[in-house]
Amino acid sequence: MTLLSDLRTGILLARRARYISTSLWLLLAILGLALMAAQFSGRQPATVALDVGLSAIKLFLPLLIILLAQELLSREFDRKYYLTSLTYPRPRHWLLLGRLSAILLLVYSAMLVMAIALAWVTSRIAMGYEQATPVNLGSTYWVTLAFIAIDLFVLTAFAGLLAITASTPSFVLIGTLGFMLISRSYSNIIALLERERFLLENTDVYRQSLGLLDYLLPDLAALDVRMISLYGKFGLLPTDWAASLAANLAYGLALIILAIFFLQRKRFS
Amino acid sequence: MNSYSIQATTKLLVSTLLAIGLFQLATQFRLPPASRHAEQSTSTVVISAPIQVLMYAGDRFLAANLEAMRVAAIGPAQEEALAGYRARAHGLVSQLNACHEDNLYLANAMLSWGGSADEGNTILQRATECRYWDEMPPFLLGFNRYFFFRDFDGAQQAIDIAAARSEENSTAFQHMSIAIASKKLNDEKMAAAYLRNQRDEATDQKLIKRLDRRLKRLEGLITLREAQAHFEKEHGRPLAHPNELLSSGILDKPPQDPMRIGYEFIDGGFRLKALKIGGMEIR
Repeated sequence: MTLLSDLRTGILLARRARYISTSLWLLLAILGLALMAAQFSGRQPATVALDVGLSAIKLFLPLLIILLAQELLSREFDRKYYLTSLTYPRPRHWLLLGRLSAILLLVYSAMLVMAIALAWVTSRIAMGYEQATPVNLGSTYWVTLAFIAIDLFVLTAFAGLLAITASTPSFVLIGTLGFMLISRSYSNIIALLERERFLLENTDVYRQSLGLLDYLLPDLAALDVRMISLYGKFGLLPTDWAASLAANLAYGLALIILAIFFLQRKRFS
Repeated sequence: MNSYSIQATTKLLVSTLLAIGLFQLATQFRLPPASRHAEQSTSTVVISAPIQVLMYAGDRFLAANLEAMRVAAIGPAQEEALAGYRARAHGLVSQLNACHEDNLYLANAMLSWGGSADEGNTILQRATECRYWDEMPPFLLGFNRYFFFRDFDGAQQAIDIAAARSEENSTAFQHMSIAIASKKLNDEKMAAAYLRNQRDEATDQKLIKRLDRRLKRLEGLITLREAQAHFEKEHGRPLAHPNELLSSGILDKPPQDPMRIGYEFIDGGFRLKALKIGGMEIR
């Protein structure tokens, strides 16, 4: 068995787990949310549709990642499929890498379909009314999506690590969602506390201790560069984008290496 | 059996959403008419920005959009009671996403012209910084600084930013900047023209009514300032007290403000009175 055959098995497993119908439902939900949100905007319906659509993509795709990680990795140990898949003469980590690439491939293809559909809906809305600042669905849109793809890569790596180490599949759900919640929000919270100083008595102490998370967690909020697409201005890209891309990629790779380490030492009973 | 977990999780998610929907429906219908009022006043809480970011899984843009929708849905009947809510909600959206276009225009129309010019200017200031290509936020900011606060330096600064950003209106902005510097800008007429234009462009009946009331309020101010100019020309001395306009017979009765906020006489000139909103002073 090679890496490719593991990838194939992963995709077959996902298909059996109703990957296609789940993704279609998510797609419908995203388009519906974007269309309804646009109704609330007087001056920039296309921007609001794109904005809420991107938010929905960023919220729903992690759910797909979690479901696939449970299906493709947790089940493997849960149902003792490893009795067949790990008995071939080959390194263990091929199984993990094959399955992780299957998850990424499936999630990225779902994201591509969603992104194209969202761009189509947004451009239809934009045709009805000329905004003062139009959205940009060209290069800036794809750059935004590339940054979201890195965010999803880190989440996939984390879900993979949890699936290898945790003893129950539901921990993958809770752990990945919690990780996503904190690493996507902490840097925003630190920045906002700067302004709302009256909220807490010792804002500085609070901010500094939240800032410690910087050493532990990746700053996924820095990967949210959708403003360049919402307002069509490349100037809104943060100046340190390259550093945050590199840091997040490195974090994701480190998580995968850690997962391989744990898989090598895993004792199967 | 393999799809068990996906099915179970989907079912769990769907039933959670359904339960939330049912709960919301139940709360809508549970309250007897008498206590609906109480419910309205509790729906005006604005959760602070850092907590909203956590609530929406770190997505400040989603939080900004949802709060902007909430504030856009205020009915005209609740408007006076919810002035404080409006100020807080617009401020929150501008903290979460200062570039939000709906927010800045609604805040300018509803806050600045609804008696909360200070709060409106904070939002316009943030929008000027965030929307670095847009000439409108600095223009509105400069105009409001001149009109509401007679802050000549601040107004000129903002208008100069607008002139630098604009391609079509650059000359007009430069003229305006010079007029501000020489304190000869006919600001009431410009403001009235702006509000009239906004009202005529609006399609929503409720918004038209609200803008109309703001326009009438402004026309009251124009009446007062014209009467003052008339008085000063006639008597050859500055107006000392607004009552002199009535006693000298230039005005029959003071103009009525349909928004019931009123006008004030400060430093020898009439201005729109600012609304006092509890809890806003600390910002």
